[in-house]
Amino acid sequence: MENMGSLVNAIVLVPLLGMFFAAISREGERNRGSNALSVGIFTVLSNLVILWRTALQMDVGKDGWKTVSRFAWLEHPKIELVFGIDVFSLMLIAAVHLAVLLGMVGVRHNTYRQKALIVFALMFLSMISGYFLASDFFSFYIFFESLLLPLFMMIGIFGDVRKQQLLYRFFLYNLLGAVFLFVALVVLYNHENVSILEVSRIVLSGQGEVLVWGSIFIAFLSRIPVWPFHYWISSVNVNISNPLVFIVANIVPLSGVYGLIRFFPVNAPAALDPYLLVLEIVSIITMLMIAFIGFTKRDIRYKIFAYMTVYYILYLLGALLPTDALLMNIGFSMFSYLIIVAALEVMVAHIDGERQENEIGNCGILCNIRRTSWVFSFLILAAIGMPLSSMFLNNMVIFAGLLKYNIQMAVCILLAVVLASVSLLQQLFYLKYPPEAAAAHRVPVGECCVEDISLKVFAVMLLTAVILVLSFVNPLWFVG
Amino acid sequence: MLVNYVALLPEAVLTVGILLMILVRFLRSANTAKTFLTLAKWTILPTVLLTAVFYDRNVGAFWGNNDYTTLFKIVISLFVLSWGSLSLRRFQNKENDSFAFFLVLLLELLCFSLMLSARSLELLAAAAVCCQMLNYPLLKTGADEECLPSFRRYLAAAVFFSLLLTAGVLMLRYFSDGEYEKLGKFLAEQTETVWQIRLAFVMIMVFFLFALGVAPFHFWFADVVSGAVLPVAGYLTIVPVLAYFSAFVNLIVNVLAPIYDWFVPVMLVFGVLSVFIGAVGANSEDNLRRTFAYAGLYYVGVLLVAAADMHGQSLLGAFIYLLVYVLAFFGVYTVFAGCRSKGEYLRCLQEIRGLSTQQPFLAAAFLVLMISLIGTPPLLGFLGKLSVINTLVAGGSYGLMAVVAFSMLILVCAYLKIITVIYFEPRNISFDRVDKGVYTYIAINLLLIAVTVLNPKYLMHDVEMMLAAIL
Repeated sequence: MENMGSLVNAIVLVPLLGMFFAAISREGERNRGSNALSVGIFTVLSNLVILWRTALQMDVGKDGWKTVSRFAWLEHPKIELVFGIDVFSLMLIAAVHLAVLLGMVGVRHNTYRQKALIVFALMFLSMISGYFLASDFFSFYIFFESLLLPLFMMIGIFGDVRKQQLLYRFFLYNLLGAVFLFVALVVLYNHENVSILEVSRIVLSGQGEVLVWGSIFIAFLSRIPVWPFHYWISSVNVNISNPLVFIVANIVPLSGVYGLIRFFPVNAPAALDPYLLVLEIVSIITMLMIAFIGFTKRDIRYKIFAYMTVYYILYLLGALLPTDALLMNIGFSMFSYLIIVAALEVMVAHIDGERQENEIGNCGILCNIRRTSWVFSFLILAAIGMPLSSMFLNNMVIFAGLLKYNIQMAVCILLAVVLASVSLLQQLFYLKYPPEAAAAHRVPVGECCVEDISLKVFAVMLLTAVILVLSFVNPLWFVG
Repeated sequence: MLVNYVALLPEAVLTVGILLMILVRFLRSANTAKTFLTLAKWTILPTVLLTAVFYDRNVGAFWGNNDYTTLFKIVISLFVLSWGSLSLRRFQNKENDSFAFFLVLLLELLCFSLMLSARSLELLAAAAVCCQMLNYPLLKTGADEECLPSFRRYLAAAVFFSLLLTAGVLMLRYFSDGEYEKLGKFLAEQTETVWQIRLAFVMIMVFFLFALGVAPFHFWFADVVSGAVLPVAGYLTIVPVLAYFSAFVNLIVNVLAPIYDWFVPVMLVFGVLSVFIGAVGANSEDNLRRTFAYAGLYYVGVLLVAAADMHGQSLLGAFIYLLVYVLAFFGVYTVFAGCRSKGEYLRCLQEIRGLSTQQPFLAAAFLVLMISLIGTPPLLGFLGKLSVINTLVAGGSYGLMAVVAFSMLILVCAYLKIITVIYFEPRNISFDRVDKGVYTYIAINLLLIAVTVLNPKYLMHDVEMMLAAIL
């Protein structure tokens, strides 16, 4: 277990170390930022090895949350930073690492402030890993709020957000969520200092209970694009053309979902039940609305955003069921989901880049670039739940759970998911098959001006596809 | 016996240093700014050493040292020394300016030292009034003609509030001896406070609130800081708040506590007002120094809110917050010292556009300091925020906590504006090369932040031990 503690600490510290090396890496005229990118890729790969070692030490079948590392930080007020891990956290950290790695592959040719991009991406990676490993109030809050700095910097520098006010509002309302969480946690701490998994032990007065839990609730909800919080998130996200930034920005709602999963299902007091019902209704309406808007829009990034939002809410609603039984399935499904979305975004960035360079339309663009077409089709099919990744089986289990508890709610969710999937399929057809009129003037294969993805990127994508297929039943199959 | 006066050695050294500086100015011909800085350095360093050595010596009933006064005297001296060193470049080849600047720094240091160790109301008032009056020649150092009217307005206000302090002290002297111990005993024995004593108390309080720049007495601060040259602006932002706040708390806890309770709501109102005006004011400014002057008002407001009841935990929280914010402000002004173009210090927000592209480390330091000031974990500002919010929650002051927390969001907008300009906008001017001294002080500042974040025991626990005299 001692060894496990070191590994868990390393998961947080290695990206910070990588960030430091990336910050001091040299930038020549010829290799603008490529040194920083190499440091970034090496760091993520190193952490993946550490994650693999950590997974080997876990008993996947039995392990619940295990506290593995403590760090006495403050004496008064007495604060210990406590880290722990379970399979769910491990899956999320691994998925985020793989997603960021794919994002780094996607930005390998970017020369604009590459170093800053990698530095902030590694900072983000460290903070989100710490967040998934946090086991006490304060470390949970520390990482929850710390995520915002790299996020704000990345979106601000690379996000192509035309209106700065929009960016400010996005940051401020995320910060507002963090303030709510901080205040609530300080109040809870002043009652009793316990781990986040034992938070239900704290007994508050009637109104205080609703206020404190309501604050925690709002804090996490502020990160998820649920109405009325969806506007700023969507406005910021759909403008981002840098794949790494898009991936990072779309991982942020995960922090809200994760927070709700950790705090609510078992610990939430009964007084909050009516509010949870309201949340479920609002979530379903948001799902349907965003899925519909995604369906009607031509912009592929909005479609991906709509797809992501629908699935995040699906996972959230699955997690809010009064049982812990689905947690593992949600973790396994999220693992594939995050990787698929990251890979999809890298492909979209490539297609978009080619489209802009050649000043052509999107329609039928894939028909002349076979490698891109193959990868893109695979990812879309995996994304909509075809039996190509762990999403297939685990989503079925989640839906079964939802159907068991509330059939009307489950039907609405299913409708939103189908709509989001159809919207992605519609985009695939649009990109693959030009309309009749355009097909007559199709450029023969080989003479096409649109460039396919390089063999290296294709190899990376093939590896990603292999990882997804191997994760079909259980992404931790290799642990035994 | 002469040995009883050994506790006055630090102040004696300061006096000798001041006299020496005057002599050098008038008897030596080839003086530069470095000459006066060297003299100031060699005066302050032995002063710090002697302050640490005689940390618990008293002289009669009018002079006393303890851990608390020693901590603040040393911290103030170190900030003066560091800021003096950073200011050197501004005064190169300007003999008269540098002489006036370093001389007034030493004089103010002497006055602050007297203010902190004084155990007599008269001595405290004399030192505090001197500090206020000395600010005027300091402000005039190297300043442009058009700024002089605002400095004169400040002088008029300072004279008015100094007269209030003097009148307050004289009124109290009418009823009792000015020595802290006797006065404290006299006030404790009063079963009903007569209105004259209450008035005198208010006059003294108002002077300190003015000196701290608390709203609604804050009107002078932003004008003065934006008009003065950078070394003076930096000094006025960083040092006086440390001295006045520590002297203020010392006076209330040790002397005026028996008649203080009714003033708590007034302090809270002033605190909340400062928090709000500071946060909103910072957003309305394009001048960086004015922005941070208003931000300073916010932080002083938080200090008042946190320390209003003047009890153990709230004072500890306030002092931790004070040290954290002063350290961050020192860093911010160090960054300002590095932001120059064609030899001129940059003041406006639009002038530092795209700083990160040419001076990435300076910009990164600025970013870290601002994020720390916001109170974002895991940086040092978080410890300050935690100590204050925890104190307020523990005291059941949820309303005040909400005001502090949500006003911070307003203040954050001002910081976001600065970060946006530095990082997200293209550069339109060429920045001068940054001095090594600036990088050194930034590195020390960031190192202090890092060490304190990794092991906050130094700040939270050791400071608590040193504040035992008043907690």
